[in-house]
Amino acid sequence: MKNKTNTARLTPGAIILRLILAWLIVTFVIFPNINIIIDVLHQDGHFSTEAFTKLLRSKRAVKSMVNSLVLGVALVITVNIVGTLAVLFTEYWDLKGSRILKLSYMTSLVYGGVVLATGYKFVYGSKGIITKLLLLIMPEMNPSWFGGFGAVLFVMTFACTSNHIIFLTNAIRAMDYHVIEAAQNLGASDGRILFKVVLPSLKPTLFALTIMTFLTGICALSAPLMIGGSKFQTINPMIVSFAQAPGSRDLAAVLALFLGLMTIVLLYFMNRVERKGNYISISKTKEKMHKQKLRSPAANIIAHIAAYGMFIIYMLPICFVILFSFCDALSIKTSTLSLSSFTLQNYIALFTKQDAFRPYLVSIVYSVAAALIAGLICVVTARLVLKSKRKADSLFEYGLLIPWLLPTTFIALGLMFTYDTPRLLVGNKVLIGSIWIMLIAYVVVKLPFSFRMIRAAFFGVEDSLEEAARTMGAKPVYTLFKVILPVILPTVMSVVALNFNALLSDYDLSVFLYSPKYQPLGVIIKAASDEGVNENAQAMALVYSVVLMILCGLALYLTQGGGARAIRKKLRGRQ
Amino acid sequence: MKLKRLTALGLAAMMTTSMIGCGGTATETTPADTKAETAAPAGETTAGGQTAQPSGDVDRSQELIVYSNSTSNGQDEWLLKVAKEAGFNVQIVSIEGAALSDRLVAEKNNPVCDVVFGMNAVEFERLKSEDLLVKYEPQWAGEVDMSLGDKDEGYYYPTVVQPLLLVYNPALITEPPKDWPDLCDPKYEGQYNLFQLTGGTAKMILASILSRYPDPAGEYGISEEGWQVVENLYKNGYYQQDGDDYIGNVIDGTVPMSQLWGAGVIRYQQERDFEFGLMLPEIGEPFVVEQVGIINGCDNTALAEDFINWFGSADIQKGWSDSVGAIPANTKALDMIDNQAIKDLMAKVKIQDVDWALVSQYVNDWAEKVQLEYLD
Repeated sequence: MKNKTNTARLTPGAIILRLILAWLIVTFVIFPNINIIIDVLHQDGHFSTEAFTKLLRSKRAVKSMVNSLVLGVALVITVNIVGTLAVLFTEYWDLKGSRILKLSYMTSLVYGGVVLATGYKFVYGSKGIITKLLLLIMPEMNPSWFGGFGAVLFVMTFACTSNHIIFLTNAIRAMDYHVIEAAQNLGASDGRILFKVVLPSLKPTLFALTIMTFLTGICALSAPLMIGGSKFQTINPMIVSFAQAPGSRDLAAVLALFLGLMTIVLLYFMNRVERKGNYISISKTKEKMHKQKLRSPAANIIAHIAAYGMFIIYMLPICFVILFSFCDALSIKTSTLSLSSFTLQNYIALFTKQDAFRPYLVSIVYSVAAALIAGLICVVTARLVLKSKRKADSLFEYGLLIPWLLPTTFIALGLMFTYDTPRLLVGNKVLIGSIWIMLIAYVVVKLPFSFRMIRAAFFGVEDSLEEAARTMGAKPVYTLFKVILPVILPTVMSVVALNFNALLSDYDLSVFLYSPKYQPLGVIIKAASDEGVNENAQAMALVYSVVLMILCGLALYLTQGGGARAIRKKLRGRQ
Repeated sequence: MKLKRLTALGLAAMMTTSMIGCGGTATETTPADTKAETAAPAGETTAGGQTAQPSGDVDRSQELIVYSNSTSNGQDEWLLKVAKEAGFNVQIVSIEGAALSDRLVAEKNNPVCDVVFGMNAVEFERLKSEDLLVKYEPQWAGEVDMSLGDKDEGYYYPTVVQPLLLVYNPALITEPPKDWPDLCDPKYEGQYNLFQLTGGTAKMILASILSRYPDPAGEYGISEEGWQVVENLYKNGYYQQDGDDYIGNVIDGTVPMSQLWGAGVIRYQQERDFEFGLMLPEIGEPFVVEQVGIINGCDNTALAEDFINWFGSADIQKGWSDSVGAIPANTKALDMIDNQAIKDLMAKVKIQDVDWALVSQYVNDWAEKVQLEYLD
């Protein structure tokens, strides 16, 4: 009876909540993006198909699209394998030195993009250390061996496991050890337990991660640009290049729509598969996970070799990035490490600049605010969508996922060219030139990722927990924040931390939207590492990225390390 | 002689002061001839940063927002310092080229920027067509070659020039090409680095080649022959990848030739201690010219003009060149600079006569076509 009234009539609070969400999504996600797409495709009073024909005629464009798809699919396989292994090595099996392994696997969380690709080039590139070693053994080999599809796949496989390491770790830690014990008592082998008990319970997270990985694959930018060579180019560099030129934006829009279409198909399938599945949720008398000893000695040795092999692959690039940040620009360009070229000048230049700390402050404030707001919106929406029996409510979900379908440049341009005049939707204000527009953009781009990860975390929430709260008279808001949030908090905190890390050095959005008085870090870094003007550009790019590594590491420590536990303790303590 | 000059100066100075005395802002009331006179004493004073005195009753302490794409790291620091010494309260916002004009267009209804400098004429034409610029005439207009700026209408004026060149390793390229189309020769296959077409240098070199083959009936205004040359040029060359050490590649012979902008030639020769060979086509080299303009809707046009008078003056342009290695468009400043390398380079190059109207109309389409059809 109660259920029935729940679906039949909405409380005023529920209506207001829906109205606010609808306004947010329409105003900042749907309207600006549709506006920009129409704007670029609609020329001389009609929709032009010219862009389509141009692209289909271009061999390069078609080849790049195919390459993107191939890369996306291949990455789903390799990243899931490497990422899951990394988490099993550090969280599930009892390996020697797992803490140090974990630290090395986490390195991909603190740097990425151009700097990461540069790091791999320091190691495997034509002047890299591994190449130099190989040349000693085989002098006739091609020094530029590290290129093309294989190299891109290799770099991206190890670069894109960051989400696995965070979210799969959370999922494993949330498992109930009783289940594994039971399986062991029934005489199941290690392999059987892993494949029949452990992995199935990680499914919701693995689904979400698969989507993320595929998207990263089809949207790959730096790795193909820097390592792919002419043999392996993907679509996103082309989109970025066309999106920058005002006359070519129709091409960028069409290409982006194509990527968007692939994303929609994938999301649709994943959601269907996910809904069909049966998942083990957290039990009421949960036993903390214990690490498993690998009982077969052969398996144990193989696991150790694989784990430390991965350790080396993860550590080499980041070590070289740090080492080279102490070198002058010339040694960086030529990848030559020597004691004589070591210098502290780069770091001194960084901190003696006028107002050196201001951009850090600006970026930290914007990124923290945006990460928290995005997290909050997604928690509320995920809860609404998953609990609601109204079909219409699932529209909120698709609304939040829209920014995935568009390249970042477009989101920035959409906001820019929509709110450059007074609009009723935002109280007839002009948002361009204000300090808010960049914050809005930061939130918008982070919605899809946050939503998808937080949604997956909700599957771990026991229904009876909520029922209990409700029967004891708790209001929905109270239930959400005091009962459910503590359960999903590790994931929410991870999402906030990752969003913070990603936004901290954002350039693509910021350059269009920042307020002149508050220059964010990304813009400063780009300026410092612009080769056209600055002799020491590459050195400065590395120095900035080392500083960013420290900041990102700090954010991770606060949310993944001691910080998270302390906050959770506090929340529990108050109950 | 000397005395005569001094008297003239004194007279000019007096006239200026009396003009100011007349009330109203000088920039609004002074005709062009008075400006020429005010410019004269300005050139004579030597104290760096103090050259042009405030014209009219301009209050230099008011905030002036300047957007630029050529004030990246460190470059703005020098400018900020001398601007402050001259009494300006300037805020410099550095934005990369393509994004800069987009931003200005988007801010049309809520203008933040007062003065913009650094973009080339093609970008300034876009601003002009969007009705974003104000007509004005700086005091130093007579010291620059106005064929580099907006000669007919006077919406923007040149500040820095950049010849675009092909450099090569003279030890390895014994038969250097004489002009861009020569590179299509199979013997140069993979021997020259072409910059990515997202950047200004690559686009402008492409434009300078294509615009030699105009044909109103051809695709994007270019004849069949022109497209054939460009197709061969791009198919025969090496297309730059992110992270390439293209200068290193020229020196070690991996890719012994490369496109390069003028200031880059000077800088890399010094940085790498290497003497490039320069291709100097008969027809001349395309020049990318940085311009300066005032944004329509700027709060204080008089102050903006005053700033530009100061910024474009020979002294400041010389200082700017000393500080960032730019090649000044101001001929007086070019005479004053001490960097012999810049003078030598400028003595060798000559300006190619490019049909910029045609370029402005089509350059995006051209770059797009090459990226779609001629690259692998």
